[in-house]
Amino acid sequence: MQQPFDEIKQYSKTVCEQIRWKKAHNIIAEEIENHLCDQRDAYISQGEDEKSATQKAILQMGDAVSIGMELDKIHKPKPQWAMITLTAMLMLIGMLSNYFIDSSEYSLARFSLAPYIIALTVFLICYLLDFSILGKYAKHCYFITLVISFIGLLFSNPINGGAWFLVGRSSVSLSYLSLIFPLAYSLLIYALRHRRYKGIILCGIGYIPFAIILLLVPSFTGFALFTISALVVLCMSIVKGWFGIDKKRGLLLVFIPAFIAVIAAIIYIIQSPHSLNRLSAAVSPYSDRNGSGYIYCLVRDLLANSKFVGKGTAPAQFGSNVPIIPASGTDYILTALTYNFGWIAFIGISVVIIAFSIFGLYYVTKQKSVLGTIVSSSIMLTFVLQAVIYIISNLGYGILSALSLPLISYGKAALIINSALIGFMLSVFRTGDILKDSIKSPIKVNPIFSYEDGKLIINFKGN
Amino acid sequence: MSIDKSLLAGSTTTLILKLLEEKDMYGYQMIETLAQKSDDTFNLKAGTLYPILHNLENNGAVESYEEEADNGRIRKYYHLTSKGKKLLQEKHQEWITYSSAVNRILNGGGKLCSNHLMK
Repeated sequence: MQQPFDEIKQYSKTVCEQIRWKKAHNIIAEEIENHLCDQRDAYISQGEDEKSATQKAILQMGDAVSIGMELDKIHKPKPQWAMITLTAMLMLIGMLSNYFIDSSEYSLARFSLAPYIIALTVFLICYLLDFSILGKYAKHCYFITLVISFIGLLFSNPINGGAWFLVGRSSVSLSYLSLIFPLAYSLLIYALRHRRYKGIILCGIGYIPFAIILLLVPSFTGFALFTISALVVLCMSIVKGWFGIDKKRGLLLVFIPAFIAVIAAIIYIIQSPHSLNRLSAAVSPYSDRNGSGYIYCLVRDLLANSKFVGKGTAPAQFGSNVPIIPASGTDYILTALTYNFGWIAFIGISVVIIAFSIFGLYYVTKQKSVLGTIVSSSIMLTFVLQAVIYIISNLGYGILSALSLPLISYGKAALIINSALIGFMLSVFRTGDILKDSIKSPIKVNPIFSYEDGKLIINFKGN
Repeated sequence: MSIDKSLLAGSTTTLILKLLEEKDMYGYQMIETLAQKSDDTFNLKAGTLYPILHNLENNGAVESYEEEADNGRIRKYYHLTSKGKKLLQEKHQEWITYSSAVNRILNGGGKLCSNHLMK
C-alpha cells in the first residue's frame, strides 16, 4: 500500500515531469510538498485520518498534469542572446586584431588559434555550469584562490619589474590575479553576510591578503581594480541590507578605514620618487620626451596623426621610420589599431564594449538572489574597470598602466580568465531567476529524538 | 454559496495582490486567508494559485524568499514589490469600472446608479 507521504511525493513528481527545465524542479517540488503537508495537517486537526487527509489535500490542489503544464510555460532558462552575441563579437575582434597586428609587424607564425579554442571551451563550460556551486563553496573558493596565488607568488620570477609564473615555455603575469580576486572576494562577502558587524570586519580582514599579494607582484592597476570592485560590492551588500545591520553604521565601518588607507596611499605616492615620476610623466610627458614620458608622447603623437579611416600619416619628427609601440598587442592594441586602420576601429570597438557594459549592468540590477547579484556585479565591475583603464591608457593619459582589454588584447591568461568570468556571468543571467535565498542560514542540527511520518527516530550520530 | 469558477478566475490576481499588500505570505496561508475573509466564498485551488504567483514573480510584481517554520518546514514567502503595488492599483481601478458597469446593467440600466457611484 502506498504511504500517505509517498502520495505527496508522487504528486509533486508528476507536476515536475511536465516542466522541461530541470533546474526549476527542486524549488517547485519543495513548495508544492510543503503546501500539501500544511493542508493535510489542517485536515488532520479537523479529525480526518492521515490517509484521507492526504487525499483531500491532493484533491484540493487540482490536477497535477495541468498545473505542471502551466508552470512549464512560466519556468524557462533565459539565455541572453544579445550578450552572447556581444561576447562573440569581442572575441572575434580580438582574434582579427591580433592576427592583423602580427601579420603587419612580425610574422603570421606567431598567431595561434589555440588560445581562442581554449577560451571558447572555458567560456562554454562556465556558461553551462550551475553557478550556484560558487555559493555552496564560497569560502573554499576564497581560500583556494588565496593559497594558489600565494604559491604562485613564491615560485614566480621577476620579469620587467613584475612577477611572472613560468609554465613550460609560456609565462603568466601574476598581475592577472587581480581579475580573479574580485569574484573570490565577493564570494567571501556572500559567505559572511549573515554575521552582521563581525561579518564586515572579517570582510575587511579578508581584503588585506589579496591587496598585499597585488602590491608584492607589484601591479598597481590590479590593486586599484581589486580595491575598487571590493569596495563597491561590499558597500552594495551593506546598502541592500544583506548584513542585517544599520546601513549608515555599516558604511561608516567601511569608509573610515578606506579613507585612512587612501590618505596613507597618497602619502606613499608623494614620498616615492618612482610613483611621482610616473604621475608627472602622465600629466606632462613632453617634459621628459625620451625618458619616462616616451610612451605617452608616442601614443599621443600616433593618435594625433591617425585618420578617420585608413593608416595614419607619419608624425613629422619620426620621418618615414615610425617606431612600433612596445608590447602593442598586449598594452596598446587600441592605439595600434587606431593608427593602422583609423579612428573607425577605435569607435567600433568602444561601441561593442559600451553596449556589453550597459546590457551587463542592466541584467545585474535585474538579479533577484544575493548570490546572483554578488557574482554578476563583481564580474561586471572587473570587466568595466579593465576596459576603462585600458582605453584611458591607450589614449595616452593613463596614470595606471593597462592590464587587459577584455577578450581583445593579446595575453592568453587574461583571455582565458575573462572568458571564464563572462561565462559565469552569463550563466547567472540565464538561470539566476530560479535561485532563491534562504533568510535563515541552512545550518541545521538534528535532534537526538525526532518524529516524522508517524515514526519516532532516534539519531545516535547527532548529525 | 460557492460561485462560478470562471467568475473567480478573472479576479484572482487582484485578490492575491491585495492579500500581499497587507503582509508577506506563503501559498497555503493565502488560500486560508482568502477563504476566511470571504466566508468560504473564495475557495481558491492551490493548483491555480501557484502558476499565478510564479507568473507575478517573473514579471517582478512579487518577489519571494524562504524561511524556516517552527516545524522545520521551509516556507516560500511572497512579498509585494513597488511594481506589484502599481499593478494592484490598476487592477483595483479596472475592477471598479467593471463592477459598476455590471451593477448598472443589472440594476436596470439606471443612470442614477452610475451617477451615484461617481459622487
